[in-house]
Amino acid sequence: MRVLPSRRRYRAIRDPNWQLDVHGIFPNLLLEVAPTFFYAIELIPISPTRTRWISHHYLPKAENPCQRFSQEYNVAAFRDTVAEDLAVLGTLQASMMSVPAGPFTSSRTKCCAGTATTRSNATCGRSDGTHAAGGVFAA
Amino acid sequence: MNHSLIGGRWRRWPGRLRLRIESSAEDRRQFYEAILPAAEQALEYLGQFSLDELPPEASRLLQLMLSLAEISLTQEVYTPEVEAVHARSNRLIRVLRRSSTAAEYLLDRPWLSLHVGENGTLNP
Repeated sequence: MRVLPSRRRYRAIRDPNWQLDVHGIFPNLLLEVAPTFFYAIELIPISPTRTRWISHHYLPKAENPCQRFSQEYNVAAFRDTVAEDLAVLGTLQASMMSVPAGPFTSSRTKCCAGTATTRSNATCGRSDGTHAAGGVFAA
Repeated sequence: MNHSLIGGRWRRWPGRLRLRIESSAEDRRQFYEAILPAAEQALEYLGQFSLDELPPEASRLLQLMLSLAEISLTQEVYTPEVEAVHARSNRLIRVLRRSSTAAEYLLDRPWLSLHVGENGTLNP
């Protein structure tokens, strides 16, 4: 496969603030392309309440120890970001599961989802917060 | 440091991540404060080698520096409470490392070519 940036993309990547492109491909794939890495996320439903999240993170081969050190730092920071996403999504799923089916399920679910997100963000700053990550993701 | 979780499923994680998760906040702080003052000098020393030709003592030093990369995040970026969230969520993440290329990733998914337009642009 050969992927070339369009004229619009060429203009964008000349911008000094450009960091990366994110391509969302329906239904379950995200491709992130940057000068120093290529990243792909695949979300694979394995049951009505469980999803397998597979991330592929490609880095150029380090040529010296200093590059290896830099890559290790970036990979660790990136993995922590994914871990924070998991904490949020676990709470979100638990909240959605708590909503009984009914004629207003859709709107109530949205309401609870917003609450769950807020609560989960708060969890990041409290040690007593809970998140029901178990049962949602299978690594 | 709690070693009760070593073995079993924990063997799936790289050693640095496992030790970071299992260590206490005090352990991490002590390690960070001990290594950081020598970090610049260590990287300068390591910079004279290529990765394929590291002598044993430099290899051990590199492992220490890689641990510093992991631990420094817990000291410079996250609060202990946030680190607790990472510890819980990282138990759900299995990290695998292998040598392959992004091109191989795309070649393994030929259906992706359906999204490539005539001018070669990616059409989500």
